[in-house]
Amino acid sequence: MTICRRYANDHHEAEDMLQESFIRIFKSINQYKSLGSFEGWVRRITVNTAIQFLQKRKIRFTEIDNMSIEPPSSDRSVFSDLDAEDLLKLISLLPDGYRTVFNLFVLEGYSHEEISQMMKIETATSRSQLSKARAMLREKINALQKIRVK
Amino acid sequence: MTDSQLNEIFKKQLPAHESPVPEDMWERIIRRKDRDRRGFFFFFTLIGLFILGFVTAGILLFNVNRKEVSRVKQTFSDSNIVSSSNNAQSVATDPVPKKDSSLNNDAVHGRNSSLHMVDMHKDHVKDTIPSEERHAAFLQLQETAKNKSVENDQMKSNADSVSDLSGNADSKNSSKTSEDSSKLSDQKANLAIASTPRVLTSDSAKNTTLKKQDTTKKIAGKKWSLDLYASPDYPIEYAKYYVKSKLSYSVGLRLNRSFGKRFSGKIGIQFSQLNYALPDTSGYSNDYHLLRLDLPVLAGYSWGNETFGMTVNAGAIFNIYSWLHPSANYIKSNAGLSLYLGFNFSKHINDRMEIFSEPYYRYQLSTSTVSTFYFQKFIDVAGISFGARYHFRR
Repeated sequence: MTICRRYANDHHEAEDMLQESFIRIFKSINQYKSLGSFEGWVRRITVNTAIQFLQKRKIRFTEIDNMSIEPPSSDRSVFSDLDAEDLLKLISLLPDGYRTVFNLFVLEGYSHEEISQMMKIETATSRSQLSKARAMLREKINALQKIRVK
Repeated sequence: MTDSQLNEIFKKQLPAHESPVPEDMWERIIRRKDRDRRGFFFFFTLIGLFILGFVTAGILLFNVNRKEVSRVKQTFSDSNIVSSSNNAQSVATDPVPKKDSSLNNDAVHGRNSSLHMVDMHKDHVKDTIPSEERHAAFLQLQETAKNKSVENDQMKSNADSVSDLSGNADSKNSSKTSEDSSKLSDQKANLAIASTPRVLTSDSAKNTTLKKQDTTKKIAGKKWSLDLYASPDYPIEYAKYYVKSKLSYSVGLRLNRSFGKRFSGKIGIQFSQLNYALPDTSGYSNDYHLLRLDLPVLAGYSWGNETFGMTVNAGAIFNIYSWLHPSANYIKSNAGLSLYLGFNFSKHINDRMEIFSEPYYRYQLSTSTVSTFYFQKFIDVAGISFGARYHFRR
């Protein structure tokens, strides 16, 4: 469910992704060869399903210009205060393109080349989306920090 | 903080995190699996229905054609019997020419009648046989007629010589002439037997064809017609698993204009109510009715006969206005364009009225929900219309 929530826009969409993933898992369970871990196989199906959901929605890899690329100064202690739910919320606030590339690169471990093939985009677009996703996350964390300090 | 540090934070926290899964998730998955299976069966049922429709149409068309063929055959055999008996009578009552002068007349008459028969054949052939074959047959008939006329000329000259010798002719010559004349009469009779039934058959077939053409003409001649129909239909939604489609309906009026024998254009107005159930957050299922007012613009291609017809209708349906009951702000007031494909099977009741049924599928091209809504709702519709068609006077 966490994987789905990372890719989805909202909780409803995450539930749909999870449901669709399970249907696919049931349908293709006979294709699973006990070469790798079952968990990894399930995870891969879930990620692929989530990506297909996003592709159906025709997500745009647009870039937001009025955002500073330079990382704003942020204290690492702020991050340590954030739990997984906070991080998921932060991810869900990212635009579709940023969120997808960030998830695929940082959490699934795909390279920019692989992401560009999966999402049918340029490698440079993938890099730029990742960099802007990071910048946006830092910005939001700083905003969160300010709220907490107050 | 560097990129890698940021990455580490997310990598450390998220993979081990377990989000709560809704309690009914498992039931939903099972339900969805069943629904997929139902959808599969529904798809095949729909295809089955179309095939059944085609087969029924085919059988009906075939039967009607067969009936007509047997009717024509029956007329053919009847006319054969009648004409044969007539010919037999005429042959029986025809006096065999005894006198030389009558032989002369008969010879001339024989030539004329054979040419007349060629003309009659020509008419018959013109009606029933394609032009190339017709031409060949006509040439052959002309050749035969020429041969006959040569023969008749010879006989005429024989007769002339016989009449020139009047009185001097011996019994041998007279008997030979009489043989010749009787031969000519036989030939005439044979030719008459051979040709008359054909002419009669041609007439009866012509009558049948004319009668058929007349009825078809009556119907085809009416360029404008009006369809009134109602249809039970079923919305097919691809939006969400928990949106449950229910039996719905459409009613409409369509104005048809035929262009030639086969093509037609249709425009009309249609009202549809699409029923579905959508559960709220508590899981309680609410009934919704999506009401649509549409403008169908279709083109048709028809075939069939005066009794039974089939038309393939295809085109676009423009939505004029859509609204939801109970009202909700996520439904667009104009659902845009959808594509339509239907197979219309019609039966004539009289020269003005037809009844028809039309299985159809309507494919929605644009979403019915506003873009800000969390899911997009495409609603296709499958159904079968039943209605009546009225042909206007010219």
